Parts: sequence; structure tokens; C-alpha cells
Amino acid sequence: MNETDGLELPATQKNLLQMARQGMLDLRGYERALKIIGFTPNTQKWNRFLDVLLLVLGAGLTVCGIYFFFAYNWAEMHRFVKMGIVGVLLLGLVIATSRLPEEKLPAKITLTVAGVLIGALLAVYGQVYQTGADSYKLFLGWVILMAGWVFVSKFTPMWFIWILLIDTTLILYWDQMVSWRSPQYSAIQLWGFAINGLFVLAWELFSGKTDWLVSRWTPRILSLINFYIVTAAATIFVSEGLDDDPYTLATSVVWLVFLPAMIYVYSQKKLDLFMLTLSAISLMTVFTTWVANQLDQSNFNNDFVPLILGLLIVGQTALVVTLLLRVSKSRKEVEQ
Amino acid sequence: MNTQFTLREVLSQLADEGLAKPLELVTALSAPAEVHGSSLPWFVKLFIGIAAWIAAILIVSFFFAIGIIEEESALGFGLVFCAAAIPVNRAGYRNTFWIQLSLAASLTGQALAIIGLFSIFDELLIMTLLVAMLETALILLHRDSVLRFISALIVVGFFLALIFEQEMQVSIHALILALAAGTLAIHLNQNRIKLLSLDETILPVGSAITFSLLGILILPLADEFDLRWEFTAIVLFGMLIYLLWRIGTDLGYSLRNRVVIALLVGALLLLIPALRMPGLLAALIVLALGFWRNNQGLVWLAAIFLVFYIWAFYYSLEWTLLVKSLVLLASGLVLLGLRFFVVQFTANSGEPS
Repeated sequence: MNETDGLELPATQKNLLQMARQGMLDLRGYERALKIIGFTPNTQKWNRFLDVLLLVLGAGLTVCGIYFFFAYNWAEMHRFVKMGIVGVLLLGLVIATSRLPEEKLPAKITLTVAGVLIGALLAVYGQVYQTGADSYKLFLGWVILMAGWVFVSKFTPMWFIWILLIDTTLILYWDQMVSWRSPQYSAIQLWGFAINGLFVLAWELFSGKTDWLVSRWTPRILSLINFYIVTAAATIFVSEGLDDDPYTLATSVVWLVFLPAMIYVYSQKKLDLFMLTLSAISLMTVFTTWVANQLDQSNFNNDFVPLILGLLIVGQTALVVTLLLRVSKSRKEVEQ
Repeated sequence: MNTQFTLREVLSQLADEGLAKPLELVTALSAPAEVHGSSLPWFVKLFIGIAAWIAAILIVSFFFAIGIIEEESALGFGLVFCAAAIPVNRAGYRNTFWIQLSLAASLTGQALAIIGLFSIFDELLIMTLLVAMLETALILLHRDSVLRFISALIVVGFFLALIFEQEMQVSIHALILALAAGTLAIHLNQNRIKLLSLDETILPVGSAITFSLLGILILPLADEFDLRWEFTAIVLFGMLIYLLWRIGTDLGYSLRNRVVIALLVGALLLLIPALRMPGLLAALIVLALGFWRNNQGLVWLAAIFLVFYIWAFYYSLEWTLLVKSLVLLASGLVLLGLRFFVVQFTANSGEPS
């Protein structure tokens, strides 16, 4: 690298640090350089940070305070007062949302809080009018009533809360309406996978075309849930067989298709090391379980099994990290 | 971060400000020596750490199962493993397999050494000091950020265990304040540490200290401890004010600036609930440090801690739910009110928000 090339490099934090370490900058110069490139936040960024922090923390603590308030024993209060307070709060938030600029964060936060308060209203209603309804109906009602606001919100945290409510509804429904002795009980795996998978697919398809779908963490967390579902099923299958559980078998087959698909998409189409790491953990878990099962069933000396599994884990981890670094480097080279 | 600048443009601006040599005197930039895997994201490092621990537990159980190692000889074997892991790590620093193997070997060695210490010594104080010496040596000699993080956690864990074993619960305040001071010192001086090329050693330790600080501050929510947390809260409050002063100074704000005054008043109001929940102040310190130093890990750690803290607060029995709800409501409204004033002040001063 000649002198000219070196100075035409982008002024990243790493390059500036290298310059400082070579004596071209002292501490003051380095810190000033970090401000120039925006690595150290300036006044504008601090103002934005304070704005978001105070709004999110303030709204969060307030909502938690409201929920704690409802958790307190309200036996002495009249039912209309209880529902009235939540209703008034809900109405106030909706009015606030309608008056605030809809593209700005405060409007989105107030709408999200209003969506969460729907659950509080339903909970108080259910507490007041003890109909004996199953709890999944509360969550189902919450999902339905919140849906309209979610679709207009263009706010990923609100979507994430709504999807988690759908998952919760599904789990509660299955737990309350399907007997655990029933062969259909383990079908929840497939339903949960399908629902979360559809949302992740939609997220990835639309994220390139929609400017507000920028969060990577929502599809990542939903994929984490899906990986848990299919990995657990595949692990149970390789260790126990489960000829009489067609749904766990089907979920294991899904794993066989899902895993290579995730590896291909997130290494070749849309680099995401988190998804690739999850894929690697899933594969390692199932493979190591299979090896342990094979060793257990064979005449192999059981005392050596922990050593073999330990070394196997070390080797697999090393291989995974090497591959992740290679994929990451090759994709960056392609993007350059 | 704006990467549209080139080094030439930045150096030119610095030279104009008198903070760098003129461009004609600048020598060529040589490529930095990158430690293998140092650019790995945090979740990959977490995966490596957990996998190494699982491997270490399996290998240790193997040695015990076949009787090669017994409790009395575990210390010796442990030290041998730790010592052997160091040259493997140094020689194979470009090879992921050797790095993983050395990490697993070192963790195995530490586990064996600790088991051996427990079988030899009865005094937890002596064990704590010996473990601290071992972990300090490993932090200095074994070039692995995951191992340095875990080693620092082990040291803090032993000191915490010692405090409980000696029934010196009052010393928890000293430990918390030492961890908070360490967090501030390391992250405030992060740039200096990087310039001195000490970041690979010190920053993982700093992360462990911060993690431990937040973890220990869950204790005030547990009802088993009959301790007064006001002292811890007041000192943490002082640290928060100091941090705000440093940030304000860095941005060119004086104490008479209305935004600064609003933040100070807000922090003072937050002190009231924080007297019983000092974790709130520590989380704000970590959050501000993380944002200032562009450390996403710290920001997320503080955010997750706050969520968990409020959830744990629900189950604390010291206050009734009504009191807790009023505390949270009041805190939330204070922060929302503070936001209103900050937005107003920045708008009136013409600063972009």
C-alpha cells in the first residue's frame, strides 16, 4: 500500500485507530476524528437519543405502573370505575395519537401503548364479569381488536408485540382445548412454526420494499422460536424414534428442509450471521444428540462418551466459526 | 456513522485545527494486525463461550469418570491444562480450531483447579485469593476475549460468595461501588485504552465488570437481604451526575444550559424511587456510556436489564403493588415530563432534534 492509497481509505474507527497507534494522531486528535466521522455522537444524535430514551422509558414505566395498579386488589372499587379508568386512558391515547404527526415516534409509541392497554381493558372486563371463559379468548380478542392499529402503525415493535400475542393465543388454546393425551397435541409445533414462519417470510419479502421494516431483530427472534421448535422435534426424533407421533416426525422432516433453506438464503441471498449461527447451533445439537445416541446403543465404553462429545463440540464450534468468518468475508467482498 | 470521509479529509481537518501533523509529513498507513475472530459479533462470541463451557464440563466429567483425576489431584491437573492452553492459544491464534481447543482446555483447567482448591482448602478467603491470582494470570496471558470475560466473572463471583459466606453483607455496597467505578473508568478511558493497544485485554474485563454490576443490583429486589440500599443509590447517583457532566463538557455545554439543568432535575427526581431500586441508576449509567462510546452491546445490556428489573420488581414483597404502581407511574411521568422540557429547550435553542 503506498502513501496515497493509505490516505484515500475510508475514515472508519478502525483505520483512525491504526493511524493513532502508528503515532500519526494523539489521543485528542483521535477523539476529535471520531467526532468528525460521527462515531462519537454529536449534539444532534444526543438529542435524538434523549428523545427516544425518555419517551420509551417514560411510556414503559407508565404502562408498567398501570398494570401494577390493576394487579392490586381492587375488590373495593366499583366495576364501572375500574373499566372507566382504563377506557379513559385508552381514549386519551387514541386522541393523542390522532393529533401527533403520524410518522413521528411519539405517535407510534402512544398507539402501541394504546394497543397494549386493550389487553388491560379486556382483563378488567374479564375480572369484573366472571364468565368462566378460557384465557385464550382474552388473548384472541386482544389480537383481533389490536389488528387494525397494527396494520396502520408502520411500527415494528407494535408488530412484534402483536405476533407474540398470536403465539400466546395459540399456546393457550392448545393447552386449554386440546388434551395432552390426544395425538393432535404435538401438532402445535407445526402450527407455531407455520405462523412464525409466515411472518418471517413476509418480513423478508417486504423489507426491501418498505422503509419502516428495517429491524432485523424481529425476524431473528421469530426465527429463534422456529429453530427451537424444529430442533427440539428433530432432537427428540433422533434420540427416541417416536414412530407413534406423526406430528413430531413431520416437524423433524420440516427441520430437514428448513435448515438448508435458511443456510442458503442467509449466506447467499441476504447475509445474516445471526440466522447462520442459529442454523449451526441447530445442526450441532441434532448431530451431537445423534452421535450420543449411537454411542449409547453400541457396545462402546460409556466412560469415553463425554470425552468424544466434548471434542466433537470443540471441533464443530471451530468449523462453524471458520465458515461464518469465510461467508462474512466473501459477502463483504461481493458487496464492495 | 458517516463513512463518507476519507482519511485524507479527516487528517486535513485535524491539521487545520492543530490536532494533527500537516499531510505532507504523514507516513503511509500500514495494515493493522487483526486478532482472529476479533470482528465476530457478540452472539457468535456467546455461542463460542457456551459451547466451550459445555465441552469443558464433558471433558472434566470424563477425567473423573475414569478415575484419572480425583479431587486431591484436580488442582495440579487443572493448572497443567491452563498452562498448556496458553501456548496453544498463542501459536494457533489464526486458526479457529486451535483457539476453540485452547479455550475449552483452559476452562477445563479452571474447573479442575477450582474443584481441587475446594478439596484442599476450607477457607473461602484463601480460595478466593488463589482463584483471583489464577484468573488474573489467565487474563494477562491467554489471548481470548471470551475467556477474559469469563475469568473476570469468576473473580467477581468468588468475591460475592466470600461476602455471603463471611456474612459481611454490608460489603456488597463496596463491591457494587467498585464495579460501578470500574465500569466508568474503563469505558470513559476506552479511547486511551485502545490507543495503548490494551483493549483486547481490558475491554472484555470491562464488559464482565458491567455485567456483574447489573447482575448484583438485582439483589435489592430480593427480600432476603435486610440492607439499606440508599447509600449505594446515592453514590451511583453521584456517578451518574459525573457522567452527565463529562458528556456535557464534551459537547460544549455549561451547567447553565437549560437541557443540562432539566436532566439534572430529572435525575434528582428519579433518585427518589432509585433509593430502593439502585439498579435503575446503574442501568442509566451503562446506557449513557454505551451510547457515548458507540458500544451497542452495552446499550442492549442496559435495555434488557431494565426490562428484567421491572419484571423482577413486580415480585418484590417489600412494597405493596399499589405503592409499586405509584412509584412506576411517578417515574414514568417524570421522564415524560423531562422529555417535554428537553424537546422544548432544544427546539427553542434552534438545535436539531
